[in-house]
Amino acid sequence: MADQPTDKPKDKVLTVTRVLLQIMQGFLIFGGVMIALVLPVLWIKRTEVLAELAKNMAPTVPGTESLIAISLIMLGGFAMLAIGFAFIKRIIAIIDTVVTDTPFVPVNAKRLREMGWLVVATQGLALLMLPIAVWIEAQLPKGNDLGIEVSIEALLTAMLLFILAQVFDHGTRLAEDVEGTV
Amino acid sequence: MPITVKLDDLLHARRMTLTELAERVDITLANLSILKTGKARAVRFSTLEAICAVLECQPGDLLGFEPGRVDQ
Repeated sequence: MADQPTDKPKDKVLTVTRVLLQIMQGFLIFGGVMIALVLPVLWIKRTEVLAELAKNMAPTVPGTESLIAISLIMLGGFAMLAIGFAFIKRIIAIIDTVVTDTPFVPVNAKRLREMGWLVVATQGLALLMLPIAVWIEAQLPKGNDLGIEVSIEALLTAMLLFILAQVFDHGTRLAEDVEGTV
Repeated sequence: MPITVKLDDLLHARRMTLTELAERVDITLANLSILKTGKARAVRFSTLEAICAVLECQPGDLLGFEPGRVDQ
């Protein structure tokens, strides 16, 4: 009963967060659809694309290898968006357990662990994309950065998520004990 | 679990219903029912104290130990 006054604001914060996350998911879907639409066009209209690239990539004359590199970066971007979508999906599912029942259920520990691996996957992907990005950046005029890098913050986030998953495992066991205590 | 709860026997001996006991010990009927049916995973000392005070018994009268007994 003592917790009741704090329940409503907490619910509001969770509701707002849930809506914001859903909007983010919408942006990620939009980004994914754009990549899926642009990628084939890049190859269908490759003569025009290469001519356009030639203006920006001078003095290098862009060839098919430039298109392959750009396509690979776009595919990597698509994978990143998919990972982001899966990550947010899990956060929303955790929020739902907080609102409807208790967050200390085994599935939430599993979700947090999966989220940790998803963050690791983004960094693995960034590591794979890095040489391609460096190659493309070298062809572009100075100051152009594709923004692909391996981030220490992301790796720390992954570690934090793995630790949180362990905490939730422990919390779930405690919750089960309390539930059966008379 | 080898721990058994003999609340049913005690209530029967004292001609008391579970509802009556719930009212007197200020514990919900649902929780007492969990205890009576042996589904509880743990019992608080405060619960034991309240039940023993009303039923005028010792904690040992309420709980038993049957080695090798498994849950159905």
